[in-house]
Amino acid sequence: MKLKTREQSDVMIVELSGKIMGGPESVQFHDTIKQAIGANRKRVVIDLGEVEWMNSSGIGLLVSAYTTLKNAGCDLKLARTTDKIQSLLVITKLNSVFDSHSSVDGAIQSFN
Amino acid sequence: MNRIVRTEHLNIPSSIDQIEKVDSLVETLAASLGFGHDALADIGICVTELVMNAIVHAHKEDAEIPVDIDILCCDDGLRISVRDYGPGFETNHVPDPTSPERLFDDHGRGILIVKTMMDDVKCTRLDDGMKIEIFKKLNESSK
Repeated sequence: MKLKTREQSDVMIVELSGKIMGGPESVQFHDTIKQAIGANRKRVVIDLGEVEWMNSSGIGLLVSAYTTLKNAGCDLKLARTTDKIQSLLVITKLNSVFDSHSSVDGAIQSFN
Repeated sequence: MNRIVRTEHLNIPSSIDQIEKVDSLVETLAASLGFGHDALADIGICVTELVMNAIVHAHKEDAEIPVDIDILCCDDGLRISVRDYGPGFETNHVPDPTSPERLFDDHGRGILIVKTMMDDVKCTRLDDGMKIEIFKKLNESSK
């Protein structure tokens, strides 16, 4: 898994890519979410468009980010969720939890 | 079971940094059998799921305890078994991760995902651990 962050319209965009299988890089993801809260970023988008696939460890990361941000009064959206990830969200019934959008711009606009 | 084309065995220490190595070998073997992009993802998801369970939950990342992985490339599909030496668990008693009280847990979805994505899953509790065998059928929809 690779992770990059950027800002757009006062929203933190977390771009994930590759395979998310619960390796050591999970720590970097958790740290990024904590940094968003520390920097008072109230709105976060996780861009999944370049993710090849994720296993349940990846799903766990998304759930953890959702609860951590929500408990801190922040809002999380998913963007460019691939068919494979969407099917995992359906299997785990998390499709009702996450607000997914087909584009990053769409996710950003949905905050308003 | 149809004709076995190739077999591979891996004996890895219980360290998370081994996951990519397992995924890489399995992906190479599955692709050589003719599995397509979508099925390769299913196989990668499930094998890393099982190996991660063995390393993290069964062995608590104790690198001294090995995980044994057998990969059988057959002309009807791919069979993989992951064997650990932990306390084991009753697969029929795994809590439902989709229940409202567990929906926000950050773990516990692995077996559900594996059972959904694979064509056959067999879990055997042994005297000294667990053996989980998965099978992905090679057919027109998985090529």
